[in-house]
Amino acid sequence: MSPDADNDADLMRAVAEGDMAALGELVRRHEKKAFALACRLLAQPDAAEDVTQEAFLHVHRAARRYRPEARFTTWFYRIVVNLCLDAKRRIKRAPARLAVYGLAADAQTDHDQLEATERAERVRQAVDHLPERQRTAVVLHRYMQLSHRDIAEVTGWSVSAVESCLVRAYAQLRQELRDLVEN
Amino acid sequence: MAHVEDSELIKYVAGELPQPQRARVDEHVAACRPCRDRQRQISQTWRVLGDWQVEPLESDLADAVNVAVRREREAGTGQPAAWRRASVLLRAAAAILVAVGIGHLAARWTAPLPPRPVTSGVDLLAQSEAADGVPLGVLELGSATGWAELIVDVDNVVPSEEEG
Repeated sequence: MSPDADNDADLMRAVAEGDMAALGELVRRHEKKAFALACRLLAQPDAAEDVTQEAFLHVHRAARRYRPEARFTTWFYRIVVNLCLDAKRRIKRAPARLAVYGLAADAQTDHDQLEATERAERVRQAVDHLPERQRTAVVLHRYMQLSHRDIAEVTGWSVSAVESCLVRAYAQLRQELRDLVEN
Repeated sequence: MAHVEDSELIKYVAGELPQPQRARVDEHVAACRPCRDRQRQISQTWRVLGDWQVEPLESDLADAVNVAVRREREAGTGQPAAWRRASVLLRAAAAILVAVGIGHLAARWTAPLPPRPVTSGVDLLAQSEAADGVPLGVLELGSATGWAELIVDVDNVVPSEEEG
């Protein structure tokens, strides 16, 4: 197990004993990725923030039942994904508020930034158009950089189901973003 | 020649293949045009997806989580839902038992009132709780309300001194 994973397990033990500073440290370590995951699954930054906070509350509530045999990130991302799927069903067809895009690293001018924002919105829509399982698989794979096996652990699907989802998802994304892909 | 599966090309593009396997794919795509085209398309899709960056969270989540945990503890809602329901049921059962116990003890300690002798049918009706506030004339036999059917055993009515 990596040093970080060891530390996460130690922090969880401390949280189970009521150590709030340990919970705070877990939040600081994992909030950025958890929020990014929720943002991409929900396409609603406000809802994503609520889900992220709720996920850490779940961590606190379930700390005594946590078993360090499972990597903390795998267990935690599963919580985030499940909360997102629940939230998504509640949000349904509310219009996505997507004003929150990161600055493009290579944007030199306002025009560049506008183009970057438009590209980001095209990609966001294409991912959002995917069926739920494919969207979840792509977000975990492309943006959370989880391996096929890790995705299987987070979602509870078989590795072959994950691979099948990813193959179809990337094919659909290639189709929908053809003009961006070929340019 | 066996082509490379799409799932393997995805792993290749994502950098997940161990070196020996990666070298084998490199060698194959160098020699196979269709696989090389597919690998290029997946690479380009992978790159374009990277255009969607998300702004990090600005607010202090650690603080918000801390406050939320404290609120849950104060409200006693930090327990799982099943435990909360069981706790509510136990408290309700305890309250019922206490009330029954108090009622039982109160009944034992309170002396029963002696029964007031019934002297006439009208007197019985007068004692009736339901008759309180209703003029007795309304309750008499043959009255317009027709309510005055006696429910007392007239043979056991104690005669008053006047009736002898």
